[in-house]
Amino acid sequence: MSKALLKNTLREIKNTKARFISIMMIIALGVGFFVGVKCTNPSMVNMAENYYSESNLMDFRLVSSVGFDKDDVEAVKNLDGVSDVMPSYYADVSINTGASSSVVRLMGVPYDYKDSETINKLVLISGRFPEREGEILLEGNTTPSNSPKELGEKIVIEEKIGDTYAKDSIKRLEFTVVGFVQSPMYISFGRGTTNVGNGKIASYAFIPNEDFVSERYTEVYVRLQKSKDSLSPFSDEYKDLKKEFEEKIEDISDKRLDVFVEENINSAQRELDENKEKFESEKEKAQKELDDAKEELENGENEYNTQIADAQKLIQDGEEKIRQGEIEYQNGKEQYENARAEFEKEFAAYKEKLDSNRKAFEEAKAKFENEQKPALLAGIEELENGIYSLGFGTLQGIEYSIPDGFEEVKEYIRQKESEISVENSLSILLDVKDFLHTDFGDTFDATIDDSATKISELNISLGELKETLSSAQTELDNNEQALISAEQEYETQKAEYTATLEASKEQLEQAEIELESGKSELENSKAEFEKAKSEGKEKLDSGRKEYEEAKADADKEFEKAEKELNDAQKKLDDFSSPKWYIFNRDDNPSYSSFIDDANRVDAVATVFPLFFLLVAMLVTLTTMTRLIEEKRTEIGTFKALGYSNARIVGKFLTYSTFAAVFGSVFGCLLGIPILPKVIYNAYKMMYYMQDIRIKISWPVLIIGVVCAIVCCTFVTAFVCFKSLREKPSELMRPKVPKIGKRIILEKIPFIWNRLSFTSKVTQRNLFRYKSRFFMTAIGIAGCTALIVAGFGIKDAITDIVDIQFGEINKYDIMIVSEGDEKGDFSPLMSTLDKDDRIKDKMLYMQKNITVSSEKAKMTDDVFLCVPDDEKNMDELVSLREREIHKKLYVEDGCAIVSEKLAKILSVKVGDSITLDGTNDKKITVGGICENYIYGYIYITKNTYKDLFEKDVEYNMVLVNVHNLTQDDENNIGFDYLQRDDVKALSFMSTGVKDFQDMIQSMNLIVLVLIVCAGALAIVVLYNLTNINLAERSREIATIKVLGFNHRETASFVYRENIILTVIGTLLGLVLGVWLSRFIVVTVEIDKVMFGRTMHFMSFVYATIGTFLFSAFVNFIMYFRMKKIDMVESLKSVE
Amino acid sequence: MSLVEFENVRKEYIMGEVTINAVDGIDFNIEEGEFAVVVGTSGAGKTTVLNILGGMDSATSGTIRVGDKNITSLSDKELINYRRYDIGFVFQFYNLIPNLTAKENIELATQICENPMDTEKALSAVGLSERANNFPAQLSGGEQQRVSIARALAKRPKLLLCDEPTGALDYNTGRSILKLLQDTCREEKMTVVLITHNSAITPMADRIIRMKSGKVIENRVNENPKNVEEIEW
Repeated sequence: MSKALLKNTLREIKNTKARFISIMMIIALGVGFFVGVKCTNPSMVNMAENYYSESNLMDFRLVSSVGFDKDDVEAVKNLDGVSDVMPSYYADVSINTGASSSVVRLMGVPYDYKDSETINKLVLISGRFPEREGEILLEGNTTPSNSPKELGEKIVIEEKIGDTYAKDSIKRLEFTVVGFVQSPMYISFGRGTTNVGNGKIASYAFIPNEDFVSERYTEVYVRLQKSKDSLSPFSDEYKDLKKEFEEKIEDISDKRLDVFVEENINSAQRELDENKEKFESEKEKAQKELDDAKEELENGENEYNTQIADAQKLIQDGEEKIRQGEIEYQNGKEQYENARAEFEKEFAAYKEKLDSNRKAFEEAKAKFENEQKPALLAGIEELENGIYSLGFGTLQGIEYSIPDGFEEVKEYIRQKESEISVENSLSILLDVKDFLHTDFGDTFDATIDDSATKISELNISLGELKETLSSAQTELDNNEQALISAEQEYETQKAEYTATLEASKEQLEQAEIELESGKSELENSKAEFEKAKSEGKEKLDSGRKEYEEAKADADKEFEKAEKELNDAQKKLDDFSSPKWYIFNRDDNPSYSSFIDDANRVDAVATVFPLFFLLVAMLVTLTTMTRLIEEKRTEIGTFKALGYSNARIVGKFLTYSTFAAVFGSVFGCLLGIPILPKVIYNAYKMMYYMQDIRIKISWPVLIIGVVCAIVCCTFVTAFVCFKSLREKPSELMRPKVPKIGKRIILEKIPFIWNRLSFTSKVTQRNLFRYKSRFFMTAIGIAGCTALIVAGFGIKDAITDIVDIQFGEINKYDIMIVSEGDEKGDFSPLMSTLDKDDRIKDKMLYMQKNITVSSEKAKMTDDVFLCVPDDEKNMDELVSLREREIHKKLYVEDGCAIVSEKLAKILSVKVGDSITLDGTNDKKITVGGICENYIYGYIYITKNTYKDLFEKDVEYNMVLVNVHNLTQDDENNIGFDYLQRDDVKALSFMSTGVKDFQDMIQSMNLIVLVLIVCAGALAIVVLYNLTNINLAERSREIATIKVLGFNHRETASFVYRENIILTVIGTLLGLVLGVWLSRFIVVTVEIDKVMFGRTMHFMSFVYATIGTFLFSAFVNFIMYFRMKKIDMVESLKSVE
Repeated sequence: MSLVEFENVRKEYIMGEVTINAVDGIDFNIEEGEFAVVVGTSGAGKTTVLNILGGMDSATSGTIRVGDKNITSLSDKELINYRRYDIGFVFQFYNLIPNLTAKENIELATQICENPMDTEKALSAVGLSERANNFPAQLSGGEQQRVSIARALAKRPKLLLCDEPTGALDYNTGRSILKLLQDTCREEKMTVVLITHNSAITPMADRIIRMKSGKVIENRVNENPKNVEEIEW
């Protein structure tokens, strides 16, 4: 370049200082920001490298389930490439820190620590290293915040942590603080997790190796030679090395573990097996005895029961019988009474009849005796007399008639006459007849016959009379007889009946007696039965009791023995599949997150500078276009003078290159020292590392600068060549001004006619200078977007705390408890029930878990939560969807997963996840809940049972308190921590504070963004207004000549700026939402999800901010405008 | 009393160590209603005179009186009002606002005046009623200058200042512009001060002020001003 041209260029720069500076500044901003932020990552990495190397950070940490012995350590040490090994001890214990107890990891430190070159070099902050047993070094950064310890103070370790006795691993429980150290193992807030206490390690401490009980080392740190020889831990080579050694160590572990198993496990297992066998046989024996006893008892019981039943039956029968007897007796008695009554009645009637018969008979008899009989007897006598007399008379008559001579006949007749009687008179007559026949022949027949006939007739009458008498007599007799027999009959019957009645009566009486005796007999037997029954029962009960006692004793004994055996077996099992665990630096969450953070900064660094570079190009474009337009004549002149195009372009290229170079240098000078520090300081609040040493990343710097220069040059060349295509003569003439154009708005006269001229000009200008329109709008939009993003990030983080601890995890206190010694929570719950201060409470299980989906796996800071009462958990833990705040409820068979975790696992509702320890059982995601800090999976207790095949073991109670003050916290803490069934108390207010501290650090980043935004806005607006003024200086001069005052002139120019600012701001608000989304998602770490809502006020702030920056620029430009010389208007058009 | 009186007006530009006397103590006066032409070669100081008279620049010393105002003693604000109400300016390069139509350009001036001429009337006065809605770029140079004159006239100024109004125009157009100015002067009784380097047009003036090296070398009244049509150059 000729001297003249160079001079010309320099003069040009001098003349257009403002323009040159604005190009320079925008480039400085872009390059400075890009290079500055891009240097942050290497600086942080470099610092980490230095820190690792200076602290001699271990490459591997080996932990064995069975510990290490000297040979193990030696074996690792002898590996080729291992430079150092340091065996050590660790144990997690619990230290009471006032309100709650926290878990502290104790690690071993040798006495000769200072003199030996140790891995993980501790930085002694104050005090000294332990020199004898019982001395302790505490971590220097944060001892549990609420109880800062002093040198010389005593630390008391709690006897038990969970089920483990502290004394199992360390020899003493009291230590004296002798110093404070910082361990390179812990560079962030995270202290890792443990399987005891509340599961979270709160801090670490060091005690002499000699204070540990175990002879076997619990951990071994390994340092590799190559790594020690300053191989970067972030290089691929280191990764390969790591892999190689992991394999090597695994090989060794296999060998060493075989030895261990051979030496220790097998014999122990045999012994245990023997013991087990013995136990089993003894148990069996005892069990058999018990069973026998039980059987006997049961037999006795059965017998007793049968007997009782029989006896009862008998008694019942007897009672029944008695009852029957009584009824029968009563019936009999009644019958008897009836019979008797009837009998008496009947017999009375009978007797009456008999008596009347007798009377009638007596009357008839008397009548017969007195009247009829004598008459009859008289008749008879008469008749007999007649007969006799007839006979006698006949005979006499014959005698007499017989002649005497017949003295024999006569004698005979006389004899006959003596013999004659009434009865035989006939027969004698007949005899006599017969007799006489002989002698007398029939002489006397007729007389005799006649007499005989007469006698016969008399006889008949007599007979008749006699008959009548005798029949009457007989009748009477018969009647009498009948009467008598009737009387007799009556008597007999009466006697008979009476006898029967008597017999019945007797029988009844007998029955009554029998009944009574039966009754009393029953009573006796009843009493006897009751007695026997209760006696039997007593006997049985005592027998059972005896048996129960014996059984309980035996069971207890068995349980104890079994537990002992199981414990022994478990211990042995732990040992018998022993494993070495190899941890590398990536397994330390602090280290991996530090590098993640550094990479995140890098990601942000890529977006912003692109944005700045874009704006820088636009600024350069408009500025150079303007410059070249102004220099048309000059270009034409140079062309006419014969300068080549290249040389002419050269001038402008030099101009812009100068701007780019100076801008880049300026930007680098400011950006590199400032930005990494600001950003690192923000992170430093979370990591305990040294101050950053800035490492300039030359490739980045070169890329930034080259990009800036190339862009600038390219834009300049582009504009130049456009002009150079014109002929010199055309160039010498003023450029044809752009034709004024009507705009759409003019078609609406209603609006257009109401606009003032300045507005009309403004409207037309806006559409006339499109590049300026876009550039300003983009520049201002960028500014607004940056401010929105800044506040957006702040909102995002602030929301976390407010929503997480105010709307999601609503509980105030987490009481860590596993119930009393039996695992029973009811004593604790009932105490809480009675406590007036407690509002809500719920049993809860929360534990660290590893969860995986088909696509990803997540281990750290993921918690499985099982509420006791999932339906009423809302007061304590509220699950809802983020955007629409729809309440979610945990249901059986599915899990609710927190949002960020779901995103990491890339699962949606309906997909399935697998929890570690469930034999790969899948569970469906039933809902995705709003959550910001850590990852949570919520399932019901039934689901838990299904998945893990065991009941939930609750480990905490969540509690809400009425109006929690600091005093309440202390009181509640004090009250509950005294209980044996409360392990720890964690107050949410503490968690909130921790996070608020962390968030403070983000405010700085917000400030950086706002400052950048401001710088961007000012540069862009200044540049544009400047160009606008330059382009329109003629116009402005003219209207000034026309007599416009300053205000009117200013509004003529500013209206455009104001409209552009408004448009740009609106655009920026939209862009800002995207930008802050992007940044939030990029900056987010795995365990935290930032808020996604932007606060309305953020938009307001961004708008106000942008307007203020714009106003500031306009204010400055006002003076420039005032200075525009009216004489300009007289000049010819360039 | 004259409308414009210059009394020992001086304007110095200090360029480093050199002091240039652009206007070196001049005295002249212009009567109301006169068509005055300030003529001189380049660098004679005539533009400086016009700037000072137009309230766009200030004199280093001396007194300038326009009507009853002593404009050398006016404050910045008073100067703005002076320009606003008393002066009409016609530029060599018309200085129309490119984004406004002819009519709007005139309205730009009238909207800030107290008693402006009707825009249509101003446009018809310069014979451009039909181009009212055209943008400057759509008008020829002469037409643009007419719009510029209309804009100046519409303000009803006391004094119409024209800076080489024909400088960028061809001969015939130039003549028509000069005719317009002369007619305006005569018909409206408008005082016109016109600056030119072209002596050929002096015969049309009522008063001729000739300048050289910052000094007035001639200030005479032309007793017989000619019509534009009568002069040639």
